[in-house]
Amino acid sequence: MRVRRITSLFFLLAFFIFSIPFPEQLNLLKIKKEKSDVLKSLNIKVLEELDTCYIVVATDSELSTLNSFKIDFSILVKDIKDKDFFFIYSKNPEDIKKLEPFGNAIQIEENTILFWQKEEMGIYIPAEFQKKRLSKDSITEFLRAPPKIEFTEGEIRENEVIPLIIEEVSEDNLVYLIDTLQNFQTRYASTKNCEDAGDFIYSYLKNLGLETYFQPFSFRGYSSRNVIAEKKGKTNPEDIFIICAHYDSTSNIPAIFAPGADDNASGTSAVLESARILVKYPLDFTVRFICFSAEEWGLYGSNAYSSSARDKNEKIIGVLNFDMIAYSDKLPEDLEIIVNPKSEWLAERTIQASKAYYDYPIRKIVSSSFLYSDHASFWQKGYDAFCAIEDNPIRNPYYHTTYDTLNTLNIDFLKSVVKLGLATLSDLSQPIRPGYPETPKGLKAKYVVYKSLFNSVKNIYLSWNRVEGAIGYNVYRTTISHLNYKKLNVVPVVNNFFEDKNLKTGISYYYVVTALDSSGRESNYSQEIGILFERGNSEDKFFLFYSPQYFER
Amino acid sequence: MIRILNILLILLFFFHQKAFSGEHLKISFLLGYFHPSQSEFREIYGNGYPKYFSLSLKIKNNLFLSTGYEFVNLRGNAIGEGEESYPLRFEMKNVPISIFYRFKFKKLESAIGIGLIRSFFKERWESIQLEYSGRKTGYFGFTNLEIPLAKVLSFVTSLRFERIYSEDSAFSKGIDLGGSKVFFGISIKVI
Repeated sequence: MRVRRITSLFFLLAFFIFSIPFPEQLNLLKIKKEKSDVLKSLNIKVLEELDTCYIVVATDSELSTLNSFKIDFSILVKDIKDKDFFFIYSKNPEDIKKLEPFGNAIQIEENTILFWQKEEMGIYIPAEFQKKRLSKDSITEFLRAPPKIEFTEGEIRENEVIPLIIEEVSEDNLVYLIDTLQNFQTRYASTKNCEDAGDFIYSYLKNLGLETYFQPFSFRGYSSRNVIAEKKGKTNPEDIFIICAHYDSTSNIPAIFAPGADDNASGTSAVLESARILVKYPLDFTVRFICFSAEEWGLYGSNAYSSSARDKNEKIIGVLNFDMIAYSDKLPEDLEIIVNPKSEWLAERTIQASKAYYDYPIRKIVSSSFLYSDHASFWQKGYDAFCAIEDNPIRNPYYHTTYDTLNTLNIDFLKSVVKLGLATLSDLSQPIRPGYPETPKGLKAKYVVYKSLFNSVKNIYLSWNRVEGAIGYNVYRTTISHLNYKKLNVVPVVNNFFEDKNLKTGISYYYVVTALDSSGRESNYSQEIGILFERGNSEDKFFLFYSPQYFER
Repeated sequence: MIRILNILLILLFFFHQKAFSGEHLKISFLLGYFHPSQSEFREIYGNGYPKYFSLSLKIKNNLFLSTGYEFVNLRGNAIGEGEESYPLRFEMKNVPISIFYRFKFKKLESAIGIGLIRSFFKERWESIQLEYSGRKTGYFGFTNLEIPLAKVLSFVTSLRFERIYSEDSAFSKGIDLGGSKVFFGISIKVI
């Protein structure tokens, strides 16, 4: 009797154990960059977008689903549990051999290596390599088919205040800031010296009168802080532009000495100098000045920041990231602006700002695979960002060494980059000009579809708040957000509303409005509003968005 | 138009050769009132006034064949919530073919029948360059009443319900171009 009871209990227990589903094994895949809409509809977790492929995590059952949808994939790593992955920029084929003693490395694209530690070892990647930690967060919701845009030459509307702003850039102050930062001996993110450098940056920004705060975060058993200062916009403070750089450094002996003058006291000095100058000028939109930490460990600081911004659904319209902007291997040194396809407008706008305010040679590089600075953390969260860098691949021979000091830098080049960055940032955030009409607020869009039995016409009905003293308004439209606005009205619009007619399905339209006074002076552009009619299965769908990232059905 | 006439001629030839008993050939000229069945159609164009010319032939006993040509022109405005006005024109030409059974009640003649209708239509936006043309086949049922006025002349009234469905439309569902039609006119007995 007793035996039978025990046996029954045993079987019951066995049944219970086997009825608990075993967690499925997760695999890391590489999927050819197409069919992003299918991946989205299947809710496949895409972790990174590179130039030619997506890096995806999928269970075994999801692999069968991908097979059934005829999606080409290759398994990079089976069972990725507890593994930390890094992308490493590879300059030449020998790089993979250099990495092999430290872990597993696979070439996944021409310039991209996937690296992960061997079971028995801790994470160590030689300082000479640029790296980015593979985030475990999904980017699937931000996947968009790359915009099919031919960028045509355009011009920006010049603002008389901007030349005054860029004239204020001080070489002496830039040198002072780099010198001060390198004098912390090291700013390696795990050290007390880095914390002291953070305190210095905080005090500098706070003393300018900006609202300043730390954002603490932890990484690989350590903790560090980003330093954030904000200048609120007067017209639409919810529209945010960011200028940022990482202030931590590294070298071959990072815990002891890593002056990091070019990488990245130079970028940090650009952020602080921009803050010093812009603090005096009222702006239409909000500007945040951010110095990130732990970039050299794999972009931990900027990742913490962009994740928090996305959680709060902040309306970050553009991010200007400066990383290594003071070493020139040749003269004149051009500036490289690296963007992903979605952020290309930001590079174009920089080129236009350069033409209008400070002519300087710029080389635009469109690449989703350049992930090795803080801009990539913003791309990861669907925000538009660029990385300004002296050279890609890096040509500074002192990169990540103890010789990266102020005396190796070209301060004229740095000054030019800061002027250019400031011109772009000012152009985006719009300094308010005394004596000009106020920038219109409250721009709203309503779609109106007129239908016959077989056709429809799609119009946009725009309305905005009246501006005191304005005798009329101009309405501008573009199909690339924040770039190349074209005036729609022939004569000024007298009322505070306007209907734009016969819009096409499948094209995004973006609008801004300006106010005119009796002497013909025209205000800054209002906040941008966007609209898209998408072809649906049965009826056209409509999206209204205030910037490309913010969709509202 | 030539195509429609060709169809009519072929039909006449067919009837003449195979079916026509030689006892009956009538032509009718009718004016009507069209009430589209779909609310969107009515909202855009309202009701219409079709014109209809028809031929009917006796096949056997009380069984008759009929065909004809009908057209209707409508004017309307695109529907939308905005302030803009977009005038529209809609032209529809139909060729119905039907079979009907005739009853005689004293001097009155009544009929009930069913048929197919081939519809050719074109919609045009007058203020912008936008138009759509198409063709569809539908079906219908009808009833007639004839009151003799003279030896060869009768007064005719006809009530028709038709459905001409098009999947193509600006609406999430398709659109029915048919509806109810009432016709009044005269009929002349040729043979």
